[in-house]
Amino acid sequence: MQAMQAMEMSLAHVDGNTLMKCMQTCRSMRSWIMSDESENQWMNACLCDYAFTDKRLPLESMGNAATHRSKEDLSYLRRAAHSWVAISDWLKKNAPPMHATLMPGVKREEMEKFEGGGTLPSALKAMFSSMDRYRIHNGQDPRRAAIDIARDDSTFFGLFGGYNFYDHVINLRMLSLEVGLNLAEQQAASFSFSENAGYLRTKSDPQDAGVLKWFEDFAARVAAQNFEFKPIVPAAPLLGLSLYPRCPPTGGEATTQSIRIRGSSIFVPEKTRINYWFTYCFRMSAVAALPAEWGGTCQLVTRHLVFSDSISESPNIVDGEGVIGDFPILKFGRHQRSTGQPEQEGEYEYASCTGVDSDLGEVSGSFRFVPGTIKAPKGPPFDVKIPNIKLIVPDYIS
Amino acid sequence: MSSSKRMVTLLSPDKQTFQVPWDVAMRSTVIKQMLEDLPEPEEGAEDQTDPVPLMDRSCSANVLEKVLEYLKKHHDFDKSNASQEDKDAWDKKYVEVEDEVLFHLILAANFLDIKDLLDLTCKTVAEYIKQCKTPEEIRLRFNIPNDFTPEEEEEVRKENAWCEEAPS
Repeated sequence: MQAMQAMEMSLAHVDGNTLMKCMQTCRSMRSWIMSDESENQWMNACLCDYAFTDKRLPLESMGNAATHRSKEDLSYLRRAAHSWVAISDWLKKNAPPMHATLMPGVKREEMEKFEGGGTLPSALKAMFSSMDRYRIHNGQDPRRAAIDIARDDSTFFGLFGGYNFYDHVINLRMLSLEVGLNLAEQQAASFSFSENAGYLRTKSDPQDAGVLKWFEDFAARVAAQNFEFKPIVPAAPLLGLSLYPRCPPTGGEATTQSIRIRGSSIFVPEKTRINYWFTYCFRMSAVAALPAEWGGTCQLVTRHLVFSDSISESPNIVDGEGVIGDFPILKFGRHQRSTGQPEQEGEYEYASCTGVDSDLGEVSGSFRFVPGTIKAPKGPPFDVKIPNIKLIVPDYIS
Repeated sequence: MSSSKRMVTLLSPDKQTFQVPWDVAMRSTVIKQMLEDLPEPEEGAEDQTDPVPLMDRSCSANVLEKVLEYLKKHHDFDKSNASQEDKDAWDKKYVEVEDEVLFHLILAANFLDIKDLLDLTCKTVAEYIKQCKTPEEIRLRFNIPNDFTPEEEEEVRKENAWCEEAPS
């Protein structure tokens, strides 16, 4: 009796698999593990080892579980489930309409049907498979995630986010497994995700965990609050998961004289042919009231952008008037485009793109502003530093 | 009297007394709470504090002795700023005891609220449990009778089948 009590206390230090074994030893241990008294331990094990979010008897998840018996499969499942938990929690909190597009995981019988006698890589299956206790989703519902202008949608539903520069708009939906499989040209050894026409293929590693690695990487960045749910196309009301990152090394911010510049870069696979294409985005705002003698405003005059990469000898320097034909006026918490639209709240944002010769580069430089406005300057112009933004091709892209 | 010289008498449920330096005894949160209520003895006065009774049966003399060995040693470790490696090496030796003793130490550490000792002993048992590959091995290792009916056992086995380690 005493021994059992001591053993039960020790169970706080074992993993889920060991807990499961202990459950099978005798009634007392089993009922203790399942009891409320041990709830924290069991919950912890569930969460850490299986990414379960509620306490349930193993029996309840038996049906589908049998297919995932090998240790390797289980580890893929855990990884996928962890990532799904991170992504769906973020969506639930920040983008409820997008959360609503997630479909239930693929059931075992369906999975066998998709496989059609062949075998899909375990890592891939793990991302879509239904297990009652795992919050895994079979991508997004194509009917709900499609943008329907007629329906007056206010959301870009792409789970994997979007970006826009000039007339190039990307909205990456996560397709369901069956749709994805039909798209893949070769045998379905690597999964493709797609924006209307094009699709991206991840590097295929021996276990074909490349796509899972990509998925984990994405989930980690979502969980780290690297992305925002905001208009994908500036000045249009369509909200989406903006892929322009907030965090270093491909995102960052710098503030000079109350003018804050947030910069980001994203690798653009769909434009990359001979050299590497990146889109970059700068968001600028006055984070404090500007001096009264400036009339509380300042206006962007010129840009000075320095693009360097790891193989070119000298950087490519761009000096030009304004940004994409615009000379925005900034005010504390507000901005106005020089192209005629009324003053708006929030930061001014523009995006552009560049091609560089190597898969690792950097943007730096500055924007020159004039106090007041260009028409009525209230002082000498001043330079606002741009944060250094790395241009990086992710290593999971082939 | 400085607390470094002050002694405390502990009384085990089987009526044995143990003289322990005050600072050592204070490492148990439960004893600490009991002692904190005592008045500070006057300078030079004979230490007449009554024995502190530890009435939980987990604290029998032989177990309490072993617990005090741990407390004294870790008290010394802290005074001499011993390295973590030294502590770990000593701890490792310390828990090389019969399962029975280990279980008693867990219960005593739990009752006396000595967190590091409880952690050490529980982790040791957890490690032994983890080393067992099957439920049957756990039963054998810890002498646990299997009280499941064959039907129950089959059900339990089935429901946990998916997490069993792959045959290697």
